[in-house]
Amino acid sequence: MGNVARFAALSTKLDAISGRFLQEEDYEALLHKEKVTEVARYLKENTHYASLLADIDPEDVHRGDLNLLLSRKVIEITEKLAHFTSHNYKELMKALLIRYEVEDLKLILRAISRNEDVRSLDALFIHSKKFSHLDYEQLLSISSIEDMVALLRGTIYEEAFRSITQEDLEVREFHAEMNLDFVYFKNLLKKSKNLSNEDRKILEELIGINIDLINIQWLYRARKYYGLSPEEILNYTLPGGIRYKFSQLKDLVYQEDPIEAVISSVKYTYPKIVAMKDIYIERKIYQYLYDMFKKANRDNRMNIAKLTSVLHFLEYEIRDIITIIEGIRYDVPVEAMKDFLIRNFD
Amino acid sequence: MKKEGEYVAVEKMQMMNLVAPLDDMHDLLQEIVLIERIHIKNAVKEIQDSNFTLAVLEEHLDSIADMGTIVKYKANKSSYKTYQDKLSYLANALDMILEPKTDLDRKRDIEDAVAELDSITRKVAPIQDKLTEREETLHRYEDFLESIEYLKDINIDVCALSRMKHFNYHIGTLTKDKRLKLRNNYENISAIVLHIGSSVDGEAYLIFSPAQLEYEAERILKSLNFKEIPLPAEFEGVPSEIYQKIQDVIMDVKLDIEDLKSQIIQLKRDYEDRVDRIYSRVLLEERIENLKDHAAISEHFFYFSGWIPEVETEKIKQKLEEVCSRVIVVFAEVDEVPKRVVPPTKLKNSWILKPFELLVNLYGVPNYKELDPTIFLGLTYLILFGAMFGDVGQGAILFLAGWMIRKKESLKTPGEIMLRIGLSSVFFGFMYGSVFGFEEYLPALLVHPIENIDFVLYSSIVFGVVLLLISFGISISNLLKIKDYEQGVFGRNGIVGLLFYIVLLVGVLELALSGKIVPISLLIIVGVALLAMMLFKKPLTALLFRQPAVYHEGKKEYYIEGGFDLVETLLSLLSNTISFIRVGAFALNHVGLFLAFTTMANLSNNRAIGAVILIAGNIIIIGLEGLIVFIQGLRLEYYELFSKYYTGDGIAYSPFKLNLETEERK
Repeated sequence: MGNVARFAALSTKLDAISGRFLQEEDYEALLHKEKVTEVARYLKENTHYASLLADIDPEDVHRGDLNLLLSRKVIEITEKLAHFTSHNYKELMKALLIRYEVEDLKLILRAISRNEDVRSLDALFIHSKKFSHLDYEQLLSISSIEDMVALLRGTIYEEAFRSITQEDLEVREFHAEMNLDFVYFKNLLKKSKNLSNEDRKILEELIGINIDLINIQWLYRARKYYGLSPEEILNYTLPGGIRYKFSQLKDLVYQEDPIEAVISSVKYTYPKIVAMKDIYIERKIYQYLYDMFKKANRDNRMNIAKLTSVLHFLEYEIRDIITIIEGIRYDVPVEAMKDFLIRNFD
Repeated sequence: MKKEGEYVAVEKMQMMNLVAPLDDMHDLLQEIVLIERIHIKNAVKEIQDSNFTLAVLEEHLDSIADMGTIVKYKANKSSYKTYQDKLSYLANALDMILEPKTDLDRKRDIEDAVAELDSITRKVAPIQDKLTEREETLHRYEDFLESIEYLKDINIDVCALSRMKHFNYHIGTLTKDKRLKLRNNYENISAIVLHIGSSVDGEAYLIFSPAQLEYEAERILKSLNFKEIPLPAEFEGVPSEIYQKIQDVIMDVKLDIEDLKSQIIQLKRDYEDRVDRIYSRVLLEERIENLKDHAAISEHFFYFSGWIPEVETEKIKQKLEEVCSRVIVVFAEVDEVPKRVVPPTKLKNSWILKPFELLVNLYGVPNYKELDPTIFLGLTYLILFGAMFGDVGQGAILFLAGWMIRKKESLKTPGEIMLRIGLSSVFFGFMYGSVFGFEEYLPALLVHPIENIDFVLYSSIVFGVVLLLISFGISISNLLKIKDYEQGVFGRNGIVGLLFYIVLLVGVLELALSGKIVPISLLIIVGVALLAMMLFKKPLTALLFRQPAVYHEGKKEYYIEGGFDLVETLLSLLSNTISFIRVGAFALNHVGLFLAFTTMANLSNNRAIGAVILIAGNIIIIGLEGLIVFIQGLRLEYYELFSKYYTGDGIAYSPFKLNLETEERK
């Protein structure tokens, strides 16, 4: 099957979705709201989030619930789009959805490490119910990491938990989380190998850049906040990067001052993400990815780039809305809020 | 006493109303569950309120108001979950599947059953626990065995390893990705890494690190996601000796397990039936609780209503009276029950046509008042399918396929249908003289379709006209039966509609044959008059019965809608009729498709290849054309005919049963 036949229906759907994205006016309107409830009402009355908020009373919505509902939008859309794909492409859609399952597993891990009741997490889950790999009912009844390991045996997540102990949860939260990310990306790369040549190349590059950015962030964090040894840092890095392969990463960690080395190397590899303050780095990275997806899809060809870009734009839009909601909650001035938004209207 | 038309009507239902003292509630409901004949669902959602009885009672509330306050029964859904858990534990331990039994000892109470359940559990549990423990032990030793296997060729005492002072050792596995990382950064690792084997879980390594650097080594191993394999501390000696010792232990454990399993089998033999009976009792109590939701109570009495087939009323009454002598059971005819309490439909058809109920239900369950269309659908469908797909050989294959698949429970009805339409196909095959597409070997008893195209097409339309006329008849009969004179007399599917159709047919026939039996002008006048009657059906009905006409949507809308309706009637009558040409067309198509394969086979100039093409052709024709014809036949039934006379808005009779699953499946 050629790409035109493969993407004919999907592409139309994607056009429909991107046609409904928020416009600059929407952003302006949302930024100038004074209360979370006003944001909710605006979203319900003027945007494509209306159906999502159909059962919600805007006057009586909790900030956390609203954020959670919004986050689920990407999953809902991905599930719908999966309907228009087949075989290897459907497998890829499922692989994309694993990311949210991973997020939910991280939630469970955090609850276990803090000895909190896992059962109450049900309301916070965002994973795709349609394509779930796990028995969440059982997962919600566990009380220890050993239970969890036993339950995940035989799933693709088993690998992430092969050496985990209760102690790891308490003193190195990153251990399980990095291993879970590893599982997600490894599976994603594996599934993209089965796509058409054109799509495989596009995805390998997009994923590779994503992995680069995660790895350098990891290097920076691991050194600055966790104080890990170079060997440990290196072992947790994700394989599959484009500009930072294992040897480059190794060069960086064994430098006298790895943090300085990372920062100066990024100036050459990803100059656009260099930021003055740490708190802006995340935004810069998202903006970089946003531009990257935009570029990949610039000629709007019938290929996988369109799918990934639309899904990511949607995700960034939702992140921005959540940023605005948080900003309103903490009385951040409009101009300052804009500095945290991924969408850039300049 | 058989009334006219009874044979195509649905099974007669009666509403059973039951009043009895509250004390007997449990026993009576128990009997009702075990009888498995009483239908208590109602289609009308609004009044359901999950209480059928109350809905029925409300209608008669005036007459019973003096009996005190009647309220919905609030079942105290005492949980049977603990019993169910115990039962599933037992079923699991004894490796049996729980089967409900209806021939229960009715006098036995739940406490007694539960007591027996507990006593059986007490006998089974210790053995089961022991078995679980032994199996876990087995797994542990097998794991040991696997890890020690890596070390088998190393000639060192394992105890010596753990006695090392300045070095620590780790045995475990690494995944492929992490192994690569370790290799690429080996120069920075302060440990000796020995590869000792591979397993499903990754490559196994024995690692020595200086005791002083233990903290670093452990963290590096952790970051490599290194999975430690614990060595059995209770064994001493060199790995190969330990290996042997563990194997011996495993043998012993396996023997224990064998023994325990045979004990379990013995227990199963002893208790299987009893556990089933306990299970049925628990299930029964649960179902009785569910049934209580449908009961209503006053201070001393309870009320219960449900539908039962008329033929069984006496038998059921007798059974209930046997349980409780003070019970009052009253039956009510459907006519005596208020309209909004919809009676369920139970179809009764002879075994020949019963499978076709599936095709009827696919469209909708007939409502209680209308004729069961199964006979008409079944017979006509057989003819339609056969006429479109007439072939002795291919029909026989359909017949055989149906014969085979009906053995499987879930495919029983589809199989039965296939079998019947296969036979019909064989019959028409003889008519057409066609066997596996070849027309040379059999004489056509009726006609070779491809050589008499006009005849085939005309006769299929004529057949269609006959079917449509019958449909009009059924429709009129249905409408008059429910006393809907407006539609029955003046409606498009009523008498006026039928007359108009006949006028239309005569007109078309005269035009086609340029004959002049009835003058065209007269036909036009009668036709217009009939159309006008359809348009003014409401005022006409009102006039007829001397009642004021009621327009629900306003007078203007009524006539606008009616106007469009006329156009639609005209068009649909024509298209419904022409539609039947497809019967002939598919009969031709059937031959044509095979001709194409014969031509290809001849072109191949090779007998073997030709034969392959013809066989493939037959397979394609049976699969693809068979499916198309199946669907086209249904289309004619549903769209052309059902739209004339069939509503299909009834609810199926599904009596309350002991086993919820069998009830749902119905």
